[in-house]
Amino acid sequence: MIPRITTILTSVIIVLLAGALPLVAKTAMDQLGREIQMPDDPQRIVALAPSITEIIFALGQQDRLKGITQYSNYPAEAAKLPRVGSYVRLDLERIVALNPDLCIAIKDGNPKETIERLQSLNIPVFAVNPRNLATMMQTIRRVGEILNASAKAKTLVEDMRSRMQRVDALVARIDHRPRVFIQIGISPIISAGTNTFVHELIIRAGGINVASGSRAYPHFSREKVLALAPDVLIITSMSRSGAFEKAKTDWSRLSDMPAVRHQRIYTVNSDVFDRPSPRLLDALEILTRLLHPELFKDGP
Amino acid sequence: MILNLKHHITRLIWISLVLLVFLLIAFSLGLSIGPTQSGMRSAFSALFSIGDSDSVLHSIIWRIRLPRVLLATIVGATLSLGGLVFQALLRNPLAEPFILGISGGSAIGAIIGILLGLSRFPGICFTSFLGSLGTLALILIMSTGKSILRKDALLLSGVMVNAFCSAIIMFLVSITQDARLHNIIFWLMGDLSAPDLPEVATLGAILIPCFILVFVFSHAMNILMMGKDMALTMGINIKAVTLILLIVTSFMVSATVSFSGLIGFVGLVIPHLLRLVLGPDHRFLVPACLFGGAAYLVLCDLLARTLPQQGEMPAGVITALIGAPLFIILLKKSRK
Amino acid sequence: MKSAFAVENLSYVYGSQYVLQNLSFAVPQGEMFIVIGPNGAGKTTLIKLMVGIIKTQTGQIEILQAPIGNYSQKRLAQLSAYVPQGLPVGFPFTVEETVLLGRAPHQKVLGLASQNDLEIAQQAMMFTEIGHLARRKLDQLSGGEQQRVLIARAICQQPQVILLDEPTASLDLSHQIRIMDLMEKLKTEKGVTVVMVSHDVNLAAMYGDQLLLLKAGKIVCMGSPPEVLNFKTLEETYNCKLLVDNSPLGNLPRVTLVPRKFLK
Repeated sequence: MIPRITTILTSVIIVLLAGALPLVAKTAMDQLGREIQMPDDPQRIVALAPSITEIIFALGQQDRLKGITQYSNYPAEAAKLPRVGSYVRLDLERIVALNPDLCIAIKDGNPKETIERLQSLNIPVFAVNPRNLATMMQTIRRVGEILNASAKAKTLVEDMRSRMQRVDALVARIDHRPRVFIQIGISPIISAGTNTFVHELIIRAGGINVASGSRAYPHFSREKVLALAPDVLIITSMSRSGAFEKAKTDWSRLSDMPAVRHQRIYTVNSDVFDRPSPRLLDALEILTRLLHPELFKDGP
Repeated sequence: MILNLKHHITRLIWISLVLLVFLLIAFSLGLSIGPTQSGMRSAFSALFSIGDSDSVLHSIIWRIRLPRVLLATIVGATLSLGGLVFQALLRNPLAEPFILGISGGSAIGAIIGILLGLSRFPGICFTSFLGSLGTLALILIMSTGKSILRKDALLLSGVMVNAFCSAIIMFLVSITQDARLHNIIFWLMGDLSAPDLPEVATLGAILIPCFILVFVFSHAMNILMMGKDMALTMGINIKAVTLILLIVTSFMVSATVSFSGLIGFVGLVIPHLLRLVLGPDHRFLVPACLFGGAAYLVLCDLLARTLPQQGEMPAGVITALIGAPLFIILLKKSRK
Repeated sequence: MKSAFAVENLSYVYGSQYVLQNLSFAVPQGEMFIVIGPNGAGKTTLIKLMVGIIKTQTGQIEILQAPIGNYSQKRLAQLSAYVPQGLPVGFPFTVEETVLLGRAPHQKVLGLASQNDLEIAQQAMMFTEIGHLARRKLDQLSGGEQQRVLIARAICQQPQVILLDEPTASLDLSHQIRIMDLMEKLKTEKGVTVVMVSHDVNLAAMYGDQLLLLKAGKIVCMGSPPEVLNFKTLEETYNCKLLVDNSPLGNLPRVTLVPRKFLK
């Protein structure tokens, strides 16, 4: 009798103590294969890239977010958060001043040296590395896990996946693939090669990327673009519409280009097209409409 | 009455003290001012209470501001000393490592080191030094007849080499596809924020012996003012002194370039300013340039990070914006 | 007789040209030795070789009975001093700072002036009568004053030999005499051997103990002024019409140039 009460009491005490224990640390492997020690329940996060800000908001975890980078312009609520420099040039002092318990960084964006300095200041940095739609969805899952929002992450990813599958189904019905040139830099003319999001979007949306190749961001001359004879020319624009109008006029002089002849020169929001965030699915849908308007005449 | 030993040493101590106080004031300002409002008192209490539990301010002061201000001190001292030495060796008031292309060559070496993925120390420092030696050799060869000290020839070759280096740097930047590109461009214009305390301490440890060496040669530089021939007849081994000073200075400059990129006009303005105030004796000018140059760059860097609303300007932009008009004013003054 | 300089078979080539050819001569200690000759004769090159600014190619120079190459740069500076025609433009030091620089060969690396150094500098300035100019900047002085400063500086080296390159060129008449008198005083009061290059034949005649006449890198003649300054030798060397007679000042030759209008 007494032993049983002891066991029960001990268990109760242990359970109570466990609940009262301070936040324990956990170890998680980031997308670069590094083992990162971080709090169980991070409360003060600094997002080191605009895409990460978007992901955290999409996961509904914005209350944990205490600092973001300069060009994190989506969603609108992000405007209230303090800035810590731009993602290529992080302001170390502002980051440290926010006393973060976790930073989320992006490979090939944030400078390695700054990340190392953050770590030497005992600030855990969880690095993500979304290289295509598939790994980006993994990124969302991983971030959801470490922020204890796995369920939301799962829903988000499933939604993205179903949208992607809908587009796949539509695109399966096409009979031709237009040649597409997506211009991400106005001067010099820069496009996107094979290992980029833009390339994947074009392929999935049912087009051919005329700028495909091993170089990630190749430069082009007007002549070269003319020689590639794109059927559709898309300019992702970060600046005002004035710049797009001018670029469109410049291209319109090359009347031999199919995209000019058929008046298929469009502009899209570069934030949506260049960022590895959930809005990439918006980009996919927009692009599919632009490349294959015929698929949507019968309704989505 | 001519300066005797006692007067000389007294004067030296006074000058050093005054400029040291200047430097300390600049240093304190640099430590206390930043995006995190802290004020001088809390900054200093964070500085001196090592292992304190108010770790945020402590981290900021020790790991972010202190390395930066210390680096500005070291780089400012080096660049102004470099300017002083080149002006003495070439007997030309426009000489400084930046204008002569030594900094440009160092930058090329450093960029190559960065693209090769080397660590800053010793890798990038080494490639940077090789770059500076390369441009130094180029300048000397181009301007040489029999004498490596023919002043105008040296300056002309230096300007050409500098232009050439700028072109190469632009080329390297244009072919870089890296995400590192942005950082390289910012670094090129003068960036004092990158290293942490141990690295800055290493830089200081390497450069302080160089400073001492240059000081030892300060009277030789005085004698060099008489011209190469005269200095020879006074017992100075011209070739050795010139070569040693050129190499040591190139080394010092290249080391700072590998840490902080291209910062110009410090080597031009500070020696001139100090010469106006203290006279031409290099035995006073060497320590004065060290402290004065350090204070100047600390203040310039402070402006660079506090003036813009968001982010910061490169330090090299501030030194140019202040330095160029200041130099013109100095030139006018010395003409009278 | 101990020689201050002993030169043997000295030749010097610059590019493909012989600047000096096979010179041999000796300079006795304590004398005023003046090198004269037309432009391009190699006089400046000779002086620079003798003071060690230029390294010898062929031949031998002995200074104070030892080959010049045997001396370290610093030791040489303690024994021989050089007075150039002028200092580079923009030389920034004051008179007393410049004079003190002359103590460098006897000082340690940083050149901090000891009491002894200061006294020697003071004496040198008194000797050359520039004490009243002590605080002035060198580039504010007249040519003659600057020359006296350079001489004071040389004196501070406490040399046994002093070499001067055309010290009276571009000086006005009073300064010419003043400088030469100074050199004479240096010789007689301090026993310093004076070797100088001069373009003024008459000054050379009045002050020189020995003259060396150079033309196109070769010795034409060497000896006392009356020996060297005969009109035939001079006419051939300088390639112009001259008159040589006795100076009213004493047993000295006097050389007069003859303008064309006086030729019969």
